[in-house]
This record gives sequence, C-alpha cells and structure tokens, in this order.
Amino acid sequence: MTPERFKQWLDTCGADLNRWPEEARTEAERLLEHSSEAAQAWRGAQKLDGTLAVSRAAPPDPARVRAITDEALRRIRSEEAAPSPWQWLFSKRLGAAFASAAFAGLLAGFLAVPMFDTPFSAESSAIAILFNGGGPMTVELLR
Amino acid sequence: MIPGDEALMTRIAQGDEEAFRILAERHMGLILRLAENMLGKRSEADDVAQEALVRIWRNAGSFRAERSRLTTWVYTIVYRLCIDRLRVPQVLTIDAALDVPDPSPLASDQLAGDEDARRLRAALRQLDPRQRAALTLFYYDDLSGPEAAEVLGLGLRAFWSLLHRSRQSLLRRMDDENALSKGGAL
Repeated sequence: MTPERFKQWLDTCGADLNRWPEEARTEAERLLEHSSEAAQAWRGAQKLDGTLAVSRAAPPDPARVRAITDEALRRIRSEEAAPSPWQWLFSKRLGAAFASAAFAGLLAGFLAVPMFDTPFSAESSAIAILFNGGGPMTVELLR
Repeated sequence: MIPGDEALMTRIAQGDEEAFRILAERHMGLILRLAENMLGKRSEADDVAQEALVRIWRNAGSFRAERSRLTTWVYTIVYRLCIDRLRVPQVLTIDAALDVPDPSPLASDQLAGDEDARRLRAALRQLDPRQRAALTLFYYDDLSGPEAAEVLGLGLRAFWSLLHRSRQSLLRRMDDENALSKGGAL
C-alpha cells in the first residue's frame, strides 16, 4: 500500500484500523510499522476521531423515549380498533361468499359469450378501424 | 434472561406490547440520533421515531433475521422516512418555526467541556443529509461499511466514496467554524 492510498482510507474510515475493510487493514498495519509519513497522517486522523467520539450524544431522556413509544402505541391501537372499509373481504364467511359470487359471474360470462357471438368467423371477416384525418372514427366490417 | 432482537420481533408480530417497549427503548438512541442528525430538529426527529415504531409494529411479521440485522432494517426505515421528509417542501407552522436548532451545547458536550464538539455539531448541520447519514451510521453508530451502504441503498464502493467526501467536507466546515470563532474572539 502506498502512503497516498493509506491516507485515502484514513480520510474515509478514520484512524481505527479495525473499522477498515479487511483487505486494506492488513496492508495498512504493515505500512504503519515502517512509514513515518503514514504514522504522522494517522495521528492527525486520530484527532478528528476523538472529536467525533466526544460528540456522541448521550442516551436519550427516558421520558422522551416513553412519550414517543406511548404515542406510537396509541396510534397502533386506534388503527387496529378502526377496521378498514375493505376488511369484510378478509373475514372468512363474507370473503368466501364474495369469491364464490365473483367466480360464478366469471363462469356465467364465459358460458354466455358463445350464445351472442357474431355471425362472422375469424377467417371470413376482419375489422378495419380507419381514422379519417382527425375526424370521426369509422369502423368497417370487411368480408 | 434478556431477550434478543429476533425473539422480540417474533413477540411483536404476535401483538406483544411489552416486547415492543423493550425494543423501542433498546433502539431509540440510534433512531433519534440518525433522525436528529439528518433533520436537525428535535421535534421532527420525534415524529420520525414515532412513525418508524409504527412501521416496525406493522412489519414485524415480515422481518427476516437471516436477511439483515435488525439495526440495519430499523435504520433503513428511519433513513427513508427522513429522506421523504426532506423532499417535502416545508410549510412552517408557528410551532415548527420556534423549533430552531438549539445553539447551546448539549449535555454531552458540556460534560466533555469541549469546544470541538460544538464546532463539530455546527459543521455537521451544514452538510448534505446523505453525508450526515453516512457519518452518523459509520462513526456514531458503528455500522460496518457494508451495513451502512445497505441502509443508504448504495453499493459498497459508492458508500466509501460518499464517506470520504463527507469526512473531508466535515473537516473543511470545522476549519471554517474554527476561523469564525477565532475571528469572533478578536
């Protein structure tokens, strides 16, 4: 590892080599042992790390934590108490009735279609949709 | 015995409020820190934390521990909520207008008695939200590079690049703050 590369990692991950990616860490440790330039840069980075450590916020006030949690639970309870307008779909009986009705409708539609089928077969006719220069659309049946 | 995150999530999925409270207490520090660092306002961070808790409750059943750590999952929820909030043009209510970032040092800063901590907070506030998130996740919350990248929805190389830029910007802003405070002292 070159001192420049070392400094780049130092400016990214800080002076605690344990936080560096493993592949960079081993090389960095080796470089630190014999490069005064690297050692100097490392001491400089330690200063900012120290400041970052000092400014770590203290744990939040327990009363604040309790207030936030209470409010979240109050919201959760009120949401759970008020059923959604679609909830009936998920109840077993009504849901099953709805699914059966939907299936019956689909089946009836499927069976009824041949009764009202057009007299034109696919081979003998085609539908041409013509656009008349931005005017009204005409539909022509071609035999 | 203290229940692990996975056991708590299983209980939450079954509607156990006690488990929910334990989990909230355990992770609230992380949730609030990320939200506060990204949004810069305590009241907005509280709103995001509350919304994140509601989503954790709703989606507890779909959480899969084998896919990601709970902290990564929670952070992803919080990060996305913050980004959504930052995208919406802010209409200031009177309450929100009064909720300006507190210029006085935090309790932790006072304990440390450190001017550097104040400069750091001021510098952090000037960064882009994604840069703030990258620094918070990696340096404050000790997420690994791959975990932080997952939360931010980035590839690992892109994350390292973002983190590098963020740290450099932070240093520059801190130097500016330093120059300002020295100028002010003269």
